[in-house]
Amino acid sequence: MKVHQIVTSLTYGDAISNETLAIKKFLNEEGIESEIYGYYHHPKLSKYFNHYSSFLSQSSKDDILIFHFSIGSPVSKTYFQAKEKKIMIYHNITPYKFFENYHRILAKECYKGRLELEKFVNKTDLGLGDSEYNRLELEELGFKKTGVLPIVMDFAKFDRDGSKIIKSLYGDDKFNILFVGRVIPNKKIDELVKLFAIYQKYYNPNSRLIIAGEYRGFERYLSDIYQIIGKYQVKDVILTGHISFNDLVAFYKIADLYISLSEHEGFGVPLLEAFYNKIPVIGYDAGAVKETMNGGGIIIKEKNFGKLGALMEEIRTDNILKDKIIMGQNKALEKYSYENIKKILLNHINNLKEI
Amino acid sequence: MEEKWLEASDINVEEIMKKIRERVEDKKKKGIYKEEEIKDIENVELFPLPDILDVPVVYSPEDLERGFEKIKELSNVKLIELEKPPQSKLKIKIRNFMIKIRNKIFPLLNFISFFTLSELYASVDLNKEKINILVDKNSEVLNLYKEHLKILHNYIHHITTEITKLKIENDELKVRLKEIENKLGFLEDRERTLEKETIEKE
Repeated sequence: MKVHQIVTSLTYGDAISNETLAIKKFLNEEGIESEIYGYYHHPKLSKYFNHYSSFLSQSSKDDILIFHFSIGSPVSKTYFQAKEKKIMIYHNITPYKFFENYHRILAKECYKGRLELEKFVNKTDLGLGDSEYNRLELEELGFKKTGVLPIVMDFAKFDRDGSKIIKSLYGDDKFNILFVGRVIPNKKIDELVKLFAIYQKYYNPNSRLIIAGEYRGFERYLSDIYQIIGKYQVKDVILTGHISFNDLVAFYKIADLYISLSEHEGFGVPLLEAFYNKIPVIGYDAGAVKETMNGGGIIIKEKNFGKLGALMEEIRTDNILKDKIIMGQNKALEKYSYENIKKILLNHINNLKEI
Repeated sequence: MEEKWLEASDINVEEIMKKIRERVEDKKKKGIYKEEEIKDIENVELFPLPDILDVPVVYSPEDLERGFEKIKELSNVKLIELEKPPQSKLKIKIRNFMIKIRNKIFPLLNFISFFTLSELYASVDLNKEKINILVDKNSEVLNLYKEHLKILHNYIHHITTEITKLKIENDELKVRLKEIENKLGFLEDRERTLEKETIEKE
């Protein structure tokens, strides 16, 4: 039996590509032949990549095909025509309502994406979500057999120093509060800035908010954020824009606290990266945040910025509390170990084989 | 109620909640912390920049081109008027004198005309007929005027659309400028740090 994967793009460093490569590695380790097919790829990954047009000629009903769903993918048709038993991995689509006021075209794409997903219901033998939250969405859509396969986290890449310049610039005595993610409406960066305005004014003026993520394409949302910064004269808010991985590592190294007020997350990779980098995490309970945090960090159920500011100050001043949070986070990370995810994937494949 | 606000498995939530309450109360007592100010920041409304896609273009350049041609036609046409009988100066003087007398005896005339309404209606009908003849004769010119009005409407619409788009683009450019300012600031800081490190190494 062979287990092949089909993706829209195999690029360097993004979560889906990392997962695709990790799955190939898991399967090869078990002696299962596995190839990756796709539409385009990063030249660095050429040795792992095959063009999807060559897939159907060798399609066999005795094999398994894993498809990583993405909106408007040209490879979907190949997936539909393949004879293999089919697994679709769903990484979630942000509800279009978050983009209505800021990016009409993206809102339309997300809306269409959800409709497109329905076409996969009868063409898929097993729908996998990378969280229970995503799995439930698949179940609601009508997928008969569903399961969870958490994202494969490659934490080893953080075992380095990161950019020295970033460390010199921001690694001072200021209390660094970090958020990693694109500056888009569902991440509620505007609320993060409001919270920081309160924290800086009433609790700790010697603090800094770092928002590490791309904002191009969302200038209209960025304008809202600048409005808040201007209105309340908030100082030390750093919107980094797109950064290199080396810079990202440095930001994790200098961060004292990680906060997410996001209202929609299909998984939440940066939360776990913060766990790994031993930064205490506060996350708002929305989407798959609580599930991803797996009992680690602190979950807040309500956005009460006055109390939240006090909680942030409590974490800053109470080292015992901080250590306890970090200990809990380390425990939570065990779920995402390489071996554990490999076991889950092989279970899904064996179950599908028996159908 | 408050316990539901926070969840954590490895720490004493009640103890933290108590400390948070104490911190908040302490700030309130010292007059540093005002609930209204917090609410004010929490509830600040966002006003997203308008989207350029919200500005529809109803008229095409072809419509405008057609409009130009109509205007050219309009400039070559003259209004046709009904022939007026020539009037002498003496006749005008008499007429004006008669009007003055009429104004004096107007109440009496009103009383009399009450009994001659049918004749008045007949006169109105006659005028209506004259107007209709005039409208028919000038229909071509009136149609051109209608076209002219449409073109003017087009122009005003186009100008409003373009000004709105320019305003949106201007606002977006301001945001981009701010982004560039931030990037420049960051790069300057970075440069200074690099310089410092290089000098220190030397």
